[in-house]
Amino acid sequence: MSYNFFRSWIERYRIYEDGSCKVDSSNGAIEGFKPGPETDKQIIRSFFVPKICNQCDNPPCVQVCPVGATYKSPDGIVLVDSDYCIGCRYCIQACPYGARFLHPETRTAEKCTFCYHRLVKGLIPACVEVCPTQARIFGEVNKKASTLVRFMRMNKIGILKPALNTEPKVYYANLDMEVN
Amino acid sequence: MEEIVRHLTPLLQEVTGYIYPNEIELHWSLLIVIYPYITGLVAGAFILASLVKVFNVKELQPVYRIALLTALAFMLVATLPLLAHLGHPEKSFEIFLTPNMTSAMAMFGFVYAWYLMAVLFLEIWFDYRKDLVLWANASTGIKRWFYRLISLYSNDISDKAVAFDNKAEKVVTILGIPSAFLLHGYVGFIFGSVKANPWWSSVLMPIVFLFSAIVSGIALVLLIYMIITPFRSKQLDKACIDKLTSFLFYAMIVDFSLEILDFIHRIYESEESIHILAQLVSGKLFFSLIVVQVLIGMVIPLLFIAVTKLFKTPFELRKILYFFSAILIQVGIFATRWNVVIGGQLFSKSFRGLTVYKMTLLGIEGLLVSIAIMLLPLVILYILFNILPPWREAHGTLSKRHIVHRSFARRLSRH
Repeated sequence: MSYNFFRSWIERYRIYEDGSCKVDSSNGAIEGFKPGPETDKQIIRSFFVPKICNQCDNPPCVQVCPVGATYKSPDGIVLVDSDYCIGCRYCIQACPYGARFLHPETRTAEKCTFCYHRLVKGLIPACVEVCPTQARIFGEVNKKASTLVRFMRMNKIGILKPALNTEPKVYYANLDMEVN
Repeated sequence: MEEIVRHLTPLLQEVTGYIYPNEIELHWSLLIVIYPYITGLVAGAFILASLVKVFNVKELQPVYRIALLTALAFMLVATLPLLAHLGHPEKSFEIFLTPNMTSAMAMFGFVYAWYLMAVLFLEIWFDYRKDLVLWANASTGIKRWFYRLISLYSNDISDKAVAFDNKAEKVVTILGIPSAFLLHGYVGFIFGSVKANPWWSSVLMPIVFLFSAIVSGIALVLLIYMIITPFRSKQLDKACIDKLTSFLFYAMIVDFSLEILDFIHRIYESEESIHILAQLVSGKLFFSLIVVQVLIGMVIPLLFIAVTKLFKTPFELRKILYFFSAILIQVGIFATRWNVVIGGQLFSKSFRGLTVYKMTLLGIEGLLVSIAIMLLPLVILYILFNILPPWREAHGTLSKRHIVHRSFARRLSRH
């Protein structure tokens, strides 16, 4: 089975003793990962990185949308109004994280919305809810004394592609420098 | 859903390295290659025309109207590839109704409308007004009414009125030069302002687009002039095509220098993306960039024209060299657009891998539709040449006295 478009995917990083790095995410890892090909090289680090829309505070996708179909909601989440989207795909080009795609059926732009339909009901995003190891934490960054704020204070926090000044609101703890 | 995305599976086989899972298929295809190519021809042809009016380059007078009509013919189809490419073309009017002011693309409608209405139509109208009046007077029936209509029922062809036409035309042209720069510089900006894409993101992009536009526009007008003149059993104006190729030559030198500057700058700055871009240029883009764009589309025509400048060459040989140079330049500039649009999407924004572009033959984004869109302006141009003949001998030659005589004669014959 093959889907080929992803709101969310998992990347596997394998860093070898010679410094080379192999990344893969076969079919977005929806069927998990297969063992890699046998090599003589020793793996020195390996880890998984989940990817979703970064809900940038300075979103390039919103900036470029010609009709204002993609916008930042008052609570800071970047959404797409498929009634307005004309399917020009400029936002897909502008996203540095590859988080957007053109839905093949609606022919409008699509992406992760932090499960906005759940948030408005007071629920947390589905991926956070079901994660068996609680690797994902969701909350308000500006709210004091939340699990998220406490976690961010206690850990080394990184964001993806900081040089682009997109100001993501998806944070990674102990982010490896190989991740981009 | 599975049916729709099945075509991605063979692409997946040719992906090298790691790409983000949403990057397998290119989002902007052949239609978006054609779009900057066409607008470039418009801007280039117009800038060539303005050389005659604003900078008073007398030698180019024979191609002045050809250049204007060429710009118009291509301008009329410039929106087609964009419309055809949209997921929802029926909603495209939203760009005018609810434009997002921070979006470069939203400004397209306004830049386009301004250029077409305020510049091209006005300039052509003022330039042809006297002739339209004369043609209307000289023809009968539907044709007469047609010319009357497009002359907007003006009939004053006194010296004073024609002097006003010329003055107005000059003002429009002076406004038109920055407008033409805006039109194509803006297309460059659409690509140059995408910070997520290191192949596009460059402040030089609008300027490189502009000069390549001038190159392609001049070369196209040269081609059209050289092809239609023999068909009309007329002689090519030697001074005109020598001058045209001179301007073409200078524009090419500036264009090529800018491209080399961009290239050197990228290598010298050697940013994070340099490894994947080097892999791209030496691999998947080698043929279209190094061989077609640089060698066939730039170096060889530059050499051809340089030969005609350095050595005394007979006109017959010069003509052949000019003609082939102009064709090679068109191929080269098309490759330039291809390398920007397609090349910019072949590498992953993770900078770890490359994907592949497979052109389809059928379908709205296929080769056939693109060929049709490219042929359409030539059909329009043929019609325009018939309605508004740009040749010197077609300029309204009937004097007022003739018209009086004719109507007098007609009245006589009725009796």
